[in-house]
Amino acid sequence: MSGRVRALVPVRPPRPEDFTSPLRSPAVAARVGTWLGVAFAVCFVTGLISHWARTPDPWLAFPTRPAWGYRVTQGLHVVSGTAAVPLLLVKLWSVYHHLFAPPPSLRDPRRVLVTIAERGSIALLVASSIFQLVIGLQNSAQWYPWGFDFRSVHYAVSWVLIGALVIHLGVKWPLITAAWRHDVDDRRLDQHGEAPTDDDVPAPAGVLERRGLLRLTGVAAASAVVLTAGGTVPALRPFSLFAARSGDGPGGIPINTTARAARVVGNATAASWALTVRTSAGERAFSLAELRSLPQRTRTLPIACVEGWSASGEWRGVGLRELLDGLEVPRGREVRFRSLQLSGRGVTVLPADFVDDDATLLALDLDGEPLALDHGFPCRLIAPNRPGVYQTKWLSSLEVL
Amino acid sequence: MSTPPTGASRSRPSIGRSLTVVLGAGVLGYGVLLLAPEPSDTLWRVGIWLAAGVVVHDVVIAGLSILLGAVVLRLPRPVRAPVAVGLVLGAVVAAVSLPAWGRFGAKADNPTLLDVDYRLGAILTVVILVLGVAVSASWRLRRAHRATADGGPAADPRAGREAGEWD
Repeated sequence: MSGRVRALVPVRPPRPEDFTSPLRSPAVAARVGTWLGVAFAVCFVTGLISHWARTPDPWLAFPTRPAWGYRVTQGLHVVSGTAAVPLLLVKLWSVYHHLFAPPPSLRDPRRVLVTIAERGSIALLVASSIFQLVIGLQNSAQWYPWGFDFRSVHYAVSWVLIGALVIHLGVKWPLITAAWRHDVDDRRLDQHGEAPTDDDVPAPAGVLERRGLLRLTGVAAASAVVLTAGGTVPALRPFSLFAARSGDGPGGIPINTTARAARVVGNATAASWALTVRTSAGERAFSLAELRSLPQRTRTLPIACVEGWSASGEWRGVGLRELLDGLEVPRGREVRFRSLQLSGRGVTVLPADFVDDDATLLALDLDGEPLALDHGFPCRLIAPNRPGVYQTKWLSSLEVL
Repeated sequence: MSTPPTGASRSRPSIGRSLTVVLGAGVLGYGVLLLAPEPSDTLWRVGIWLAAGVVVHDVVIAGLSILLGAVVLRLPRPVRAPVAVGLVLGAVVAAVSLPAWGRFGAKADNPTLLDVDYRLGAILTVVILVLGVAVSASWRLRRAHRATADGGPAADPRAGREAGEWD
């Protein structure tokens, strides 16, 4: 009993060998770590795609098809980031005892340097992993407590994370491959003390078996996804008890910025509203009635937000390319869109391939009704495979560049 | 059967691994270069959030998990696994849903944001987890009781050894 009390309330800092659970092992860490690595890889690749879609004048034009492309990649980005939360927690738990490893002897300067580099890269890996998941989850619920620009910081830190992860893979590769080659219950790789654990010594009975912990981790990751992804995967809506958005809204589509928040209510509902179109030949204003008298096209296109929610809608309005054809604007030109909204996303430039895509509309209706004021009434841009922030609402003018 | 490596990081690194580490350092360095032009105010805040995440995990979350682990190890053996599973799932659900049920980003003019009944979700989650743990624990308790009553060996052949009390 006294031994038990002493172990619970140590009078010295803990040592790796104090953590005797056979679950804290390379066998568990390598497996959960591999799943986490896959989740981070999906986050990184889909994050790069999102960054590409949001880069003005990229060296390679962002494709306009498939129309649902950005919806899938950004949905995957947030889903795999959410799944990574339990994976990261279990991964860190399984290696936590290494935090208390004694420092190497100062008489071996090479060893000291290697240890500093190794522990430094792990510190960066852990810090950036927690950071990216925390601010990413917060951003998906429009909770911005940090006081810095989310996009540029999340992007830069993702490179730090992936770099530290690649270093970690280089350092740990033999241990990872050995762990995968051996049975998960093989204890010869365990590293609680200095000496490898003897396989003949029975493991101390813990709470869960290793396979049980791995199954639990998988269930936790799946639960995290099912409970939050309803805002982008309609099939999951009934089970998404904690989605930041139900995925519903006027015309079946949620709203990011309301007309009131954008301070456009007065101008958007004014009878004098007109869409000004500037070309090299001059300027022409279209009233709402004139836009409605042009041929109307119907397109089913998603709004896919960087926050991870998305919803598909049936939009109706004037085909942008048709309108420009009528004004004899040649193909291959960019168009600058201005919104009545003066702050935030008030001005966007639509690349030429999107301008020329026949699915791109100046939308007037959604789901058979005139656009709701919060969806950009009287007229908004809707293009395929485009981040939601660039689907400019409450249009006031467009200018062919 | 080959002997597994014992101290992996201590074995002589191959060229492939060395190149991997160099590549990782390059990628990491690119991230630092991207951060460098940010205003110093931003860099301070990023640094604070980076450090705070590690401190909150390594002290608070890890400390709580050790404490809860010690509590679970004091429960009757057949009950431990169901309780641990319930605690882990409950903690994970609480963590990933915090930004939603906390409603920190709610905006009065936008009814399509944070528009799920999170209280219902919390009640459902707790009820399902508590019921699941209770059913599983009582079933295991009864099975263990029957095993000893039949005069057989204890259900777990390692029953004699206690786990270390840190876990």
